[in-house]
Amino acid sequence: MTVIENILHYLYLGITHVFPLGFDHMLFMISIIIINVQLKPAIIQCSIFTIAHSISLILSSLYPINISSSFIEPLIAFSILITSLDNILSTTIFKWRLTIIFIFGLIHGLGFANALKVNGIEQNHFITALISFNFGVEIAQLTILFLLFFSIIKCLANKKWYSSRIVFPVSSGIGCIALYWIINLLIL
Amino acid sequence: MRKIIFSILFICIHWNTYAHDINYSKIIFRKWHLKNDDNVEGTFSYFKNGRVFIETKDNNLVHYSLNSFCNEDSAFIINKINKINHANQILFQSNHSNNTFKKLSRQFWIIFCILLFLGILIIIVPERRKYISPIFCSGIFLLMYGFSDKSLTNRIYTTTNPNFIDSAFSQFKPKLYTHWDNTYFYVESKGIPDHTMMVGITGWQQQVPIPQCYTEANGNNAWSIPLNPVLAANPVPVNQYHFLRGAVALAVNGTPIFNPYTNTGVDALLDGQLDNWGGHCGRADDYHYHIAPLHLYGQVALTKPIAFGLDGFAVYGTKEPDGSNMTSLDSCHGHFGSNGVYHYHGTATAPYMIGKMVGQVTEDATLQIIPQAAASSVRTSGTPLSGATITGCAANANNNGYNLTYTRNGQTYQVNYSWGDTTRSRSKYNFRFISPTNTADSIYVGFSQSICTVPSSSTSVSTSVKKTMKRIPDTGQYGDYTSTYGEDNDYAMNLPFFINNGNGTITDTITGLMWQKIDGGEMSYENAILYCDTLTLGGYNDWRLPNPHESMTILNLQGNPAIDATYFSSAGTTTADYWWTNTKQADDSLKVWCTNSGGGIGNKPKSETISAGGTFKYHTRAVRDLFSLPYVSAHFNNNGNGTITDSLTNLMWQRIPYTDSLSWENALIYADTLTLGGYIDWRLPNIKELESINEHRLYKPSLDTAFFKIINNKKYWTGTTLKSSTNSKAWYLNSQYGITSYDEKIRRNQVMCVRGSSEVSNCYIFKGNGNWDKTNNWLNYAIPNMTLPLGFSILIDPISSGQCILNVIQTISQGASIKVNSGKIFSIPGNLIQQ
Repeated sequence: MTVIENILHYLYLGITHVFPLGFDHMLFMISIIIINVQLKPAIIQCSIFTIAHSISLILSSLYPINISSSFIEPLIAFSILITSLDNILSTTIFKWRLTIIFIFGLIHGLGFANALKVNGIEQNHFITALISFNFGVEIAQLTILFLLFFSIIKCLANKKWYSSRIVFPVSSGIGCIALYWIINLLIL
Repeated sequence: MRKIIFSILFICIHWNTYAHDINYSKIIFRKWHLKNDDNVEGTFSYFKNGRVFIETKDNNLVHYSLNSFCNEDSAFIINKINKINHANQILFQSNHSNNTFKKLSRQFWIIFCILLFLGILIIIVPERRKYISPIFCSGIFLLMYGFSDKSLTNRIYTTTNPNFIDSAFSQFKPKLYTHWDNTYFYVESKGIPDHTMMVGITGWQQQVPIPQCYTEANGNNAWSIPLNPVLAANPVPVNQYHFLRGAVALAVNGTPIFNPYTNTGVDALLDGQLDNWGGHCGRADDYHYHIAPLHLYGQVALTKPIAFGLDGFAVYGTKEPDGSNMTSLDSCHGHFGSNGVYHYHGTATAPYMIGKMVGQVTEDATLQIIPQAAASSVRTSGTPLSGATITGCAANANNNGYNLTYTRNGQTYQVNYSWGDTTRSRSKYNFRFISPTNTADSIYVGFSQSICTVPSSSTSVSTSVKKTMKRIPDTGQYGDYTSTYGEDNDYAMNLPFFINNGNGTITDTITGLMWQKIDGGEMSYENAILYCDTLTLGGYNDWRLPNPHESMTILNLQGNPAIDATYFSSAGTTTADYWWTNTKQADDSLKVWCTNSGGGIGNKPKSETISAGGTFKYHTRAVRDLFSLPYVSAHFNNNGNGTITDSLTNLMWQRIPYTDSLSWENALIYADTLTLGGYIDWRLPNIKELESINEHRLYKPSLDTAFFKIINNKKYWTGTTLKSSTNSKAWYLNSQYGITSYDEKIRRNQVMCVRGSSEVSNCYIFKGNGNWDKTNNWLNYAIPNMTLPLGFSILIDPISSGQCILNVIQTISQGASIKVNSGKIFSIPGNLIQQ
């Protein structure tokens, strides 16, 4: 397997890990983006999320931290619930929203790391694999961001009913799903 | 709006959103650098005997010593081995069951707090109430559903009854041995099924079946089935990317079942690699199935499982456990049964058995489930041989190997292989390749490897409750019939000791068996089986007919009838002539082994009893509480010095009987003076001991000739005298079928000696003359404790002219006993307290 093949392989894994396999990450992205009526804060929030999950992904790959997925997955679901509640409760962005997104990014990164650990990255391709996987995730996230922003938000954000008919109901739905996941992962 | 939200919710309920599986379309190989500048590309397979086995790109297994790798690679290997060991240790230490409820209540409180938070939000932010309350309501709804009885007790934390698993495996005992603790159900086997193997394979990898040591004794290498399986949040598929090594399930005949895909990622069945039973041999010459062994339903009832996944869930066939036809299957290839417990179904087409592991399992870096029993190879692995079709694979005449036949290009080839003397602890494996074109056969000598045995499954018990039939009760004979030393009476092993439970049952404290006090009366053999099946006595309904060995254990050779009338009696006024056992004569199903009231055992025609038109009274005495003894040779071990040890009874036997025949008195002298295997304490066996090594499935001769140099239809003396008016006859065992009968002591018969006692004696025997507290008056210098505990006994048997003087205080607990042999003197100046 050449280096190029290797990079493409992990790039592909990264993309498919968000779409279509990582429905939870998609929902998290949507609930981050949907409240932003402008592109700039949306990109900032997405970038903070990316930085955070890259940090925890790299750290957990370099220094094996054994946090079981039975602990991380409910936490990821919890993070989605909190962001969706944040969307419902505030019309303006909370100051601590960025901090929360950063913390949640760290958690999501651990989730990515667990996914990678399923088969383990061969040591001699370690750095390439890690970087290309991260890039794959990033590509998928940015695609979601731009699709969502230019197809829906840009057209509807200036409507009066944008919050009451789009942001709140969608966030409420995402919150329901997130709570279902939490309960499902913990007891069902 | 609320309706829309709920419909989104319900669409998502069945959407498995947490599928984080990474599917590798290509396996990445590591480049290994050797110190001699060679390179190998492949993946780490396993580490054994200081050698590292690497599976190369082209699927060959190569091995190198650990220090032939460059430093970086050897560090990687050591790290890998440590990780695997660590993972295994964690698994063996973990114990789900205790934490289940603690964990559940913690989870409940987490969810409760989230809901409380949502509730507070609804109150303090009324203007957004309508958006938050759907989340709150769905949470409450799900919580109620989650804590409903059905989902909690039956669906999430399944606790499997080990007796249920045991019943599925028990049909294939004694080839298997089962036991369990709180976490796992363990199965020990050699991985060789009852049926022919290999025949029908067209895609042959040149591997052959060799027995494997899936045993506890071989470094905890038994198969482990979780007893507290937990449903996985994301069931991992059994496909080309997961579980490519090792078993995913274990068939109830002790044969492992692998992923339908081989480790090269092809469907083994469609590729022609499997025999007519769905199995073939792996690289360690280990036989395993790759598809559901539905053929086992020829032997197993349709409502019983044929396998258990290594995640702990059972596998059924075309029927549900309740007898109805199989209903539709989910993506894991199973469903929840009517009892609320998940199970899989085996089918003839892909995915054949397990689509996804529905229970939580741990997959290690080499893509196998751990814990996993490991196969061990005796040679380097073979390569595919195209065009070969296997036509035969038969066990050889010595039963220590197989002769495998295959055709290729219209010609017949053979691989004859064997592992030498099965009685040695280590053995070389020899392979002889016979080709029709070459005049000289080629010979290949494999590694030598330990030979192991599957422990006896006479009892299948959990480790916490151990009941075994380790001790053979003494014959009860106390009569002195000769001055020559060594007759039955001169050795007291485990004096018979019964407890009357007061509910119609008697417990034998020596064997642990529970017997019916008053037998069931005269009846035909067929009715005897039915009688035991339907008997409810003392609150138990698991009564059964005893096997011949068990039946012998309660006989008392001092009396006639040869049974202790204090504890056992017959129904009505009639007395029994014979008692049925559960075993028929090996080559005549019209004859059944029966103990007789004279003290022996024989193969008697079923028609002899009154109910079947005969003239004798054949009674039924039911027994319960232990599993039937298996073939006795399963627990024999050849010590290689002319002796055989029976690991069940701990008796050591003379392998080759004395070459000549001897009178009974001379046989006693021969035994007393025999030196063999470094031991001098040989003696004639008593009738129960000699009968205990008879194998009722064998005949002509009926002792296993793989262990004993026994001649057919000869009489082998026992030390037990036939109690009669003259006492001139002694019991023998006939080696034709194993009947016990008696002969004049002056006649010359064969002699086979025994030594050792059956396990630890529970009996203290006063053999000397004088004071109680002098150790050399006691057999083996063993003085009883001041308080004799339950189940123990003291036998007072001083020398003929002497006496036993109790000069101390001796307490006999309830359930313990003291007995004075008839004609012996026991004086008590001290205190004897019987509680």
